[in-house]
Amino acid sequence: MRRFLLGRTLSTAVTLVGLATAVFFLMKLLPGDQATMAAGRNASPEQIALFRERLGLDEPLPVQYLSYLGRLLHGDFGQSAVTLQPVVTDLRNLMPSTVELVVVATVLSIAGAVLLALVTATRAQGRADTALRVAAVAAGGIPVFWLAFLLQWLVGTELRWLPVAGQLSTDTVVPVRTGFVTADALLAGDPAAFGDALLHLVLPAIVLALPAAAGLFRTLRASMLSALESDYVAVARAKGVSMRGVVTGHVLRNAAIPSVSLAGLQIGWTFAGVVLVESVFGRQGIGSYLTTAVTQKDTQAVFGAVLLIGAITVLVNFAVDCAQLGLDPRVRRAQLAAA
Amino acid sequence: MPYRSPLIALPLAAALAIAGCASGGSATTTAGGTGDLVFGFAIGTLDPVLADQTQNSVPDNALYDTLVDYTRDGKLQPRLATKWTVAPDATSVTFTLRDDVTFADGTPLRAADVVYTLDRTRKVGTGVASLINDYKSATAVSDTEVKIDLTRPNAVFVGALSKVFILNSALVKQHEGTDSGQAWLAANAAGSGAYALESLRQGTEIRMKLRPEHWAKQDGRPARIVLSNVADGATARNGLLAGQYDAAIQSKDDAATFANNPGFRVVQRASSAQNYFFINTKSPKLSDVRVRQALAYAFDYQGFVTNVEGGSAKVATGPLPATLSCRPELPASAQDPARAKQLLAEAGATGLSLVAEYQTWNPAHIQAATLLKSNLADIGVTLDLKQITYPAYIAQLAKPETTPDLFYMSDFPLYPDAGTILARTYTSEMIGRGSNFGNYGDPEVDGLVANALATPDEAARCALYEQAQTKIAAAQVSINVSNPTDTLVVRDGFTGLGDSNSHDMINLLDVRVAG
Repeated sequence: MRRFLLGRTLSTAVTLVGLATAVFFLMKLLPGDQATMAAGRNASPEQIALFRERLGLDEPLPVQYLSYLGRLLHGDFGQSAVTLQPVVTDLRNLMPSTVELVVVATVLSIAGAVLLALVTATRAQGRADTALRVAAVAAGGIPVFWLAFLLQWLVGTELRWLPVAGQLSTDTVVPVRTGFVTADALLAGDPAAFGDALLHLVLPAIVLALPAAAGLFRTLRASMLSALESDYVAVARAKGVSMRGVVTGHVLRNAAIPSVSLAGLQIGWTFAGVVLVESVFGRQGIGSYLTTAVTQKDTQAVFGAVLLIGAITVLVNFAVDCAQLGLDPRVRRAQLAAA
Repeated sequence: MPYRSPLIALPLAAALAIAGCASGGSATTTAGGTGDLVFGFAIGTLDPVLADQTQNSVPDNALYDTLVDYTRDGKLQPRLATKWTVAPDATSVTFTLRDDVTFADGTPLRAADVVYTLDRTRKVGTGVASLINDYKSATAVSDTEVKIDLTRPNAVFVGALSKVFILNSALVKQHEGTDSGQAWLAANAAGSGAYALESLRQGTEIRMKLRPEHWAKQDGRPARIVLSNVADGATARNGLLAGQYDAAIQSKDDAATFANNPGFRVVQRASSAQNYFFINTKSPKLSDVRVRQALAYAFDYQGFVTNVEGGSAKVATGPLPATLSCRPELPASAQDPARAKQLLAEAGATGLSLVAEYQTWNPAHIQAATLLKSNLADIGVTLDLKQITYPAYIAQLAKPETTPDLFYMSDFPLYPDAGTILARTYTSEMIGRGSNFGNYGDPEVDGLVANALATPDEAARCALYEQAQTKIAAAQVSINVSNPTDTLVVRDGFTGLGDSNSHDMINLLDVRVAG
């Protein structure tokens, strides 16, 4: 087991270094002089030279690369040309908001997928099952930006049930402590602000959750149907265990194993999805930061955010591998045998 | 109340035992003179050194003061400075400051703050620092008098100071750190403006409250202004309709939604920008001015303005944007394919094949490039189109031989003085430095611009600007396409947004609450 974890940790570290290296060389391959862009329009040659020195661009490429890796190890992602702050400070300030959205979206997608799979797997080929399968295909195929605008218009503008955008209403003030708006509202002892923050989370979270839930639902349903035809289910039923007991006690756990891998991948995709959703819903976070950085040609910020999202995806997959080891004795045995 | 949540908020309130959960709406305003303005707007940083970006200068202009300001027709007017004197040789300028100005923390504003701000701007070296390249040093002659020395004659230096927001030096020094206070100023304000910073949520929202003690206090200003982050036009439109925002910048298509909505006004205003195809005058294929003129005669300006820009834009009338003063009377760009063919024949340019580059972030740029390709085909010129990013284009400008034949772009002055664009874009010394987009150089134009910048007399300077522009127009450095318009949608109850006497389309100091 220890050897497995060590191996996975090493491969994760290698992946992260590879990611950082790819990001570095992509920065170098991008056309345009980084110092000229950082110094701004109309900058004099002296100002550009100053920025070239500040950014270390006057060093040979291998020195720049090693210095870049060294800075990354110390949490230095460079300085944003838009905010004039260290990129890592920006990311640290914005990360809680993104995590808050991703967590709510992930909870919604997993809960929704499990619930619907439970309902349909035991009623396979029934009307509800057919309708939900069709809906899942549709939800998985809907472009996220279209869904975002549709919900924004219908639920926000026409029905006015939920706010169109933002994280808090403009007459609600919550002091920033953790950066998680909901948590900050609770820490401030302001339940109304907490409710307000939750209401602002609903639409973007649904937009992020729906495609993920559709994929999870289909995988889970298929696994459950397969599991329901297993011998152990027939035995359990023969012993008089109720269908509900079989499904919740045996089938769901076995059927969940392939879905855990998918859920892990989808958390990574959800972090990538926030790029669009945060911008459309005017939310603070890594996604809207990345969007602004791209439109403002803020190279350091773009690569800092990309590196962070990439690192999160790699680490989530590492966590999923570990989770599978705990969940699936077959995987555990295989790893022990390999060790 | 901008939105109501009968289906969600009430059960939530019940479940969480929270009262008032459903009441959370943006405080849109109302008559009475002291409401709040919620402006759907792209949020930037607060550090005034980056006020060359509109999203930063809009809040900075409310939180800080500048020495001078511009009126809508491009006239300089006093702000913190009551008067200024440019030395006869234009190598220095002396300002007299108001003596009744205090920063938001109550500290009086003094000449030393002006000196500190200019020195810090130069030290940081980005953003508005490029506007004061000629800054040498500043001296506080007294608390209310400051003398600025320049490295070379520059009679329009005063105009650049309309973008330099004066900092509370004592306050910034406390937070200077190792980055000249950049990290602190990104999220905090140290100004003397009509509004004080109430709160900031990075990238999401800026709240400012009115300072009743401000030296230029005026009735009817909103008590609070909230800039809410909106990067997307559709979100802004939905937010306006839902009552979440009171004003937002809109595309013409989105603004059309509000045309018959009695609760809103659609304000259109000529943009300070101009759209161009810059021509690489150093390209062997384009060195003959007749070829460049032929390209200009080929383009369907009216079709572009009507079909692509929705009819609200105007066809350009010269190399500088129409909102600037000191422009000579030049004819509007016009299509004349027959004349184009004649010029090509006279120049002996047959079978001409060119490359035009454009950016893809704006659909209008793609349409402009496509239209030019079609128009040039009609006169026998083959045009290859290539997509490019702006940084990549700037890198190509390093050498005339790497500069594309044509490049479509919008350009605008950071402050309304013709000299800013003339010196940056049309003088020889800027070739290879990323801003002379046509690689254009003419010693006569260089001389005219240099003379103009050294001429304190406004009328004489204007005449020199006009002579330079006439020569540039004759050299056909660019295909001067159009002057676009900007569009704002404003909820009824507010005035002064887009339609004030300010040079900037959005000047929060001009907003008034009706009633």
